[in-house]
Amino acid sequence: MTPDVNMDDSTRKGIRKTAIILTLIALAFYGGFILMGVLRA
Amino acid sequence: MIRKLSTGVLALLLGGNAMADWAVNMPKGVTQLSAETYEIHMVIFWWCVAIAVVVFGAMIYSLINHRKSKGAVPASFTHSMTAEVIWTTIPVVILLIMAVPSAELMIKLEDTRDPDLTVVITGYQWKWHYSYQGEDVAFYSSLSRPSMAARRLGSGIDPSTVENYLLDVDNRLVVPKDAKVRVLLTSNDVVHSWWVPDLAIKKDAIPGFINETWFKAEVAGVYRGQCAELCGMDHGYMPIVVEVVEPEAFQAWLDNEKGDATPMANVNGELK
Amino acid sequence: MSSAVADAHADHDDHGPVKGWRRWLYATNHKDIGTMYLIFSLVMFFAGGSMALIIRTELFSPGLQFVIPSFFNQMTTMHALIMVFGAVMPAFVGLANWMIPMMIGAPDMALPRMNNWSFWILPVAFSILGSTLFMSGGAPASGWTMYPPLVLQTGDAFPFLIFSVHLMGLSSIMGAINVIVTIINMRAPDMTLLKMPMFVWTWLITAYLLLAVMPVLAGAVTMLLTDQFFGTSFFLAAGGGDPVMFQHIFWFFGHPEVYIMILPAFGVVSEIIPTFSRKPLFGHDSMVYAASSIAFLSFIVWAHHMFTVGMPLTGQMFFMFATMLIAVPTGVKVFNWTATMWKGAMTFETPMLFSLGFLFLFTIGGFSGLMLAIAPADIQYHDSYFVVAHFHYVLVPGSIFGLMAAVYYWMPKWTGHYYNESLGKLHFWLSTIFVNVTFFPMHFLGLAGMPRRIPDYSTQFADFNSIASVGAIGFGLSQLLFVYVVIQCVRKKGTVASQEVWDSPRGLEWTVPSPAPYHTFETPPRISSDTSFS
Repeated sequence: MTPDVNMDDSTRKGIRKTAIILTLIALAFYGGFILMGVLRA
Repeated sequence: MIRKLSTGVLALLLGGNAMADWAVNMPKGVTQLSAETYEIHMVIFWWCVAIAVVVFGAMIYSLINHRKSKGAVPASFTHSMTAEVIWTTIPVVILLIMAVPSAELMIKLEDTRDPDLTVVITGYQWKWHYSYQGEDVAFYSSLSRPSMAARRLGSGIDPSTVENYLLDVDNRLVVPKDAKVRVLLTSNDVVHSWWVPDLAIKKDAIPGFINETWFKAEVAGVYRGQCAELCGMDHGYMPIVVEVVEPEAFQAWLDNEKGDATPMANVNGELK
Repeated sequence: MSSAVADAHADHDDHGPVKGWRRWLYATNHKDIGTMYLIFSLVMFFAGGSMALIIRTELFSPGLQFVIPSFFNQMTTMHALIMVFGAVMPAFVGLANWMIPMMIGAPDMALPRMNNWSFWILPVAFSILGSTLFMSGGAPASGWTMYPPLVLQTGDAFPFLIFSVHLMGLSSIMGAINVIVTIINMRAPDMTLLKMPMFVWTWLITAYLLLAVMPVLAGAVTMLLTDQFFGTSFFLAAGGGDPVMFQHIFWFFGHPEVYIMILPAFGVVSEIIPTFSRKPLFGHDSMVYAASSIAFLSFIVWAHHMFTVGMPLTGQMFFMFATMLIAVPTGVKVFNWTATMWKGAMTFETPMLFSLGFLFLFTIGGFSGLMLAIAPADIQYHDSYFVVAHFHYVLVPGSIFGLMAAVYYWMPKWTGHYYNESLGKLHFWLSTIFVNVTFFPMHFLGLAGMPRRIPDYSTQFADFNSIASVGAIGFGLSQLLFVYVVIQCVRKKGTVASQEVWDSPRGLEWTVPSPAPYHTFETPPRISSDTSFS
């Protein structure tokens, strides 16, 4: 996951968790707005 | 920068009677609402100037006096609740002062009730179509021929020799003076926007939808504007010319047009 | 840190970069990726700038002299897309890559391989976008706002436009995720959120904005794509759709987007002004709250770009009042910078000059912004050159000056050598003079009634247009000086820089040697009162 960086496991877990949440937020905005378009059109 | 701004201010002050070539300010226009729009524009402008004088003044004072080469010793303060409260409150107050007249004017701009005349305007790529509701008068309005000839790349015609270059049309929209004209706007293809600065009107013409606005010109004359929303290749070549005439002259024009209605309707296409 | 992990990586830690093209293509080091971002954005800056010069050359005098209208529209569209997505945004991501790990005491960005991806997508995206210039029907010509139905008249370029916008969005989203993850998880042990430097703070807020709105843009262009090719009618009135809905969605993205382009510049200026005033930033915490308020407000003001589309009166009122409110936190920022300089001991090196240029000229852009917020007046300003003047004042002496200031400020840290100070100052003065010559007259043109995005204009607008064109060419040429200064600095022609570079600047980045070694903060630093903020 992070080739050049040394870090402890809790940081690694935190990174994974934050990254997944953020990705889901981005997908939710993408899907949500298209859904809004579908509902309005 | 302050000099820039003050030149601008100076230019604005002189602008009232300057030649059109160096026009630096919004026209006062010929309707009650255009005058009020101009008024509110100037009020917010002077607020900005006043704030600029205070803020830039403080910055410049600081730049002159608080420099290391003058032996200034840096202070160490990092915050001041009093100062922060003051410079949050004052802008809020100024905004409230501005919000009230803005809201009032906006309500007037949207009040399209009880028109004396209704014109349906349809945007086309790249001309306007005007239709007088209930009058059986309708026609297209495109860029006039002299401008059309001069606008081509490498036409060899000097634009300054063309009267009202790019701001002249074959058929003007004629309306009576002192009449409340309701404008219904739509489009046949893409989004256009009907803008005449002297009437303080700008409204988008949107395909499939009808927008409303209105004006009541108080001075007879010819007022020019342009399409304001990018609408493709010839967006810059679909001007608007509104001719405001005395009511009697308008009636005469209307009667004359009614006789002409059929040939006018066929103008579509041939003019381009 | 566990020693087992350290051992496992010992073979490529501490050994500097690999040689040759592999170092760049397979880059995972935040400094290398930052450098690539900065170089890429500089190239795009000149590409977009050349298009601006084509526009200004054509507009030098009335009548068409050089290009046909359709090509002119392609130039305005491509200029905006390239400057927004190719120059300003990647440049700030480049700075984030270089500086955020060094400012929070992290060894690298949290997701280095994704970092590589998010950079390398960009050259692909812009190659695709650039290639549309040679397609049948030419490049997109509907403005960067891509309003339907006009955008659907684009020729073969249309799907390529949509695809490249998707790629740019993907790159930005990945960049944003990386920034947030890094800041949330990898700060030095004692660095609480409110102890973070302003640049890190503004970037954290920016990254959240990016994360929320880039997917919205992607959604909007996806709907355009299906409208064009798959028979939907999201935005086509004929099929029951609504063209104005696109504008709402676009500006829901578009307004936060303008803060995405300015907030990191706020951060840069908040680093530089304290350094050269030799005084801590005034009101660090209120600056954080102001930036957060701006970010929040940016989501509820989008329709002030649409006062002429025929919204209900109540809608117009709401968007007018919300927009006016933005003046308050923005004012707080400007006042706090002024208070930072107040009773300081200022010196005027190039980064400080660019920051001051930013402060004065961005404020002028703020004033015209305040005027534009007044809806009844906006009906006259809308889609005129007044708007062009406004957003160029906040983007050029705003974002671009912020970027220039940042490059001059941190370049000695990056290269280990100072740039040429006299040339830097010359670059500042030329840029400042020409930027005003270019954009100030546009206020007058707009007020006098000249619409934007027209290739030719009535003769009454001739004089100010000529002045603006002269300014634009001057500004463009002045930037060649910047390239020269940067190249000389990278070639280590200047004086050797110390570790601190400037006169006791605050922040962790000044505790590592100049030039910054390939790996920094492999063990987290301790925060002292000299290196923390707030």
